Parts: sequence; C-alpha cells; structure tokens
Amino acid sequence: MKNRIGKIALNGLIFDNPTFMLVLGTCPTLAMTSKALDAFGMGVSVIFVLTLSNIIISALRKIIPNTVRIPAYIVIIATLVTILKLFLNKMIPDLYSSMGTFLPLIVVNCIILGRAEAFASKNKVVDSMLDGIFTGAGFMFALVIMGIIREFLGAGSIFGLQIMSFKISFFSMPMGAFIVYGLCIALFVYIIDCVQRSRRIKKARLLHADVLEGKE
Amino acid sequence: MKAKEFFKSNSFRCIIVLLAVTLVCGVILALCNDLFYVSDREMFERSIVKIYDGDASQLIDLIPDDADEIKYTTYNCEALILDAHKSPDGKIWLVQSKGNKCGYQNGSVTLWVNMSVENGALAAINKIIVDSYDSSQTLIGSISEAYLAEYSSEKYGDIVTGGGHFSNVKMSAEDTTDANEALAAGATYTSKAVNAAVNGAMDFVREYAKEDVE
Repeated sequence: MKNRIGKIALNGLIFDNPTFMLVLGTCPTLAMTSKALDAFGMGVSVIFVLTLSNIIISALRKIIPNTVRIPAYIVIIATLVTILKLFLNKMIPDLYSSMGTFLPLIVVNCIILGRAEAFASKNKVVDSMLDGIFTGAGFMFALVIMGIIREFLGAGSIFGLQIMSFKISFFSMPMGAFIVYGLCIALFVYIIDCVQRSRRIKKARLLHADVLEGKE
Repeated sequence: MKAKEFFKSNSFRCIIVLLAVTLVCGVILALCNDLFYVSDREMFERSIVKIYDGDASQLIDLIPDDADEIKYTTYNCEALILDAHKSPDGKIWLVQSKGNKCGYQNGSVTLWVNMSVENGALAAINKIIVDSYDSSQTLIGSISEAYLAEYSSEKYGDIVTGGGHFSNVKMSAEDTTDANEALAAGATYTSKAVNAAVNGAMDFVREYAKEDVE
C-alpha cells in the first residue's frame, strides 16, 4: 500500500511531472508565471479540479459507457471549473481577476483530461484521488518555481515582497517565459538523469559484487 | 430495430448516462450560482473601496439607471460616463469613466476617478484606478500606480483647475521602465484611452458640479 502511494506520488511530482517532463498545460504555464502568487493560485485551482474530477470519473468509470466517456468527462470537468470560478469571484476577487481567461480555460487543460483518460478511468477512487493530488502538486511546484524565477528577475520581488530595485523587464514578458521554461526543463531533466544514472551504477556495482561473491 | 431492443441497446444507455450527468451537473451549478452570486451592489462596493476611504453606503448616486448616455470627446477620443457618485458633503466625486474605442485595436479602458470639488469647481484629482479593460490592451499591465498618480501630481494642477485636458502624461524620473517610457510618450493607444477616460471624468464634474451649486 505504502509502496503504491509512494509510486503515485513520485510519478506525479517528478518522473511524470506534467510541466517539466510531459510538457503539458503549456499555455497557463507561460501566461500565469509572471508573478509567483498568480502561479500558486493557478496551481491550487488545478489541484482542486484535477482531484475532484479524478474522484468523480473513477467513481463513475463502470457506469459511463466507453463511447460517450469524453463528452461525459468534459461536462464533469467544466462543472468543476465553473464552481471554482463562481467561488473565486465571490471569495477571492483579486485572484479571480488576475487569472482572467486562464481560469475557464482549465476546462481544456490537457493535464486534467489526460489524467482522467489515462488514470482515473482505469483505477480505484483512492488511487485516482492521490494521482490528482500529486499530479496537481507537481504542476503547482513547476509553476511556483518558474513564478519565483520570473518575478525575481522581472520585477525584483518574490510573492510581491520587494527584494531588490534591479529588474530585467524581459523576464516578465512572453519571451522571458519561454526562456525560463526551457531552462527549467533542461535543469529538471538533467538532475533526474543524474539521479537515475547514479542509481543504475549503484545497482550494477551491487550486482557485480554478488556475482564475484558467487564465484568465490 | 424494435422499440424494446432500442431500450436495451448501448445507444439508449449512452443517452441516459449523458442526460443524467448533464442534469446532475446542471442542478449542482444552479445551487452554486445561487450560493456564490455577486450582486451589482457588491461589485460596486468592491470597486469603490479601492478609491474611496469613507462609507460607501452614504454615497449619493448621480446617474439614474434609466439616464441617457453621457459622453465627452477630447482629442478625437470618446469617453463614456458609466457611473458617478458624490460624498454627502459634495466635496468628493467618484466617476467611472470609459475611454471608449480609442485603445489598441479599438479597445476600451474603464477607470474610477476620485476628484475634489470646491465651490462648484473641480479642484483636484485625488486618485485613479483601472477598473476594467479589453484583453486587446497589451500595455495595460504596464500602467502602474505611479503612472496613474502622475495625473494627480502638482505639475498638472493647472490642467485640472484651469479647464484643460490631458493629451499625454510624462512619467517621473524614478519610474521609467521601457514600457512606461512608451506610455509616457503618449504614443500608445492604451494611454490614449486612459487620457480620454480621465478627461471625460473631469468634464463630467466640471459640468455637473457647477449645476449643483446653481
């Protein structure tokens, strides 16, 4: 059980990270990361929609016929996004207005439909819920990292807190978003590659030591 | 296919499932819409709290809902007056003004302008905030509070009290990013829409504050 949860968590956060490894949800990633707080808001919104949509779709997976599964998923996801939109407009109007058109566009975010199709429609409710939480957290983690870098370089602040007067406006603009996104992907993939390589070497050494012991 | 066969078929099941999903979602949305409904008054108070320190419930509404459209034109740019309120003592006027179709790609920018009135004449612009704008206004994000504060600065006092209009607004030296310099030159359509909205708000107060005294 623990092993299964760990695997789902690691996949969602690192090995199948939707932003840095699968390069999904690129539009909100580029548009919502000029400020770390906006990036965090978008990340939390996606966690909410992804977790609930995974739970509902997994619970209904035996009821919804295969031929109409996509329209049914879209109706469920659109309902959740609309509820989120109404809630934010009422409770957190500043975040609602800063998210603009990207809030309703969560409906067509390929991460959400992708996880519904690839995971929730084939797995149990609890596993689907965990997948939603960890994949959403992976997306939020990526957005917040990019938001911190872009806000720090582009506005000299982090989460709205002014740190330095020096700023490079380029990083607040779309070109800066693409550059930061590319560099983050490269760095993330390089770190994971290094970790996996060192694991493989360690495994090979252990295997080699076992073989030598067997010979003796 | 006979009717009995149809009711047992997969097609019928698909229709029923889709209808059921849509119906349940519709009911949930109706309940949420009722629960999270934001009234016009709440929207107004949200906007007004950013520009007015006093009690918003005491403000006097100056434009009835069925009033004719009020518009002013300066430098070939049109401003529509959407809403206006004054404080109970008549010294503070709050005007919601829209720089109409003279922004980028014929877009619009709507502002709230807080102004002081003395003896029936416009005395000063106290504060300006951006209320809403079209998505086509690409430079709107560069319109900082510092830029809007320039309209209330002393160097433009003569324009405000002397019956003049803004054509462009120069930034102070300490806030000159590339985008702000573009705005400062008055060369962008977005800044023209902002100018038009401010000019319209001033013209409205000049006209109606005088009538108020008379």
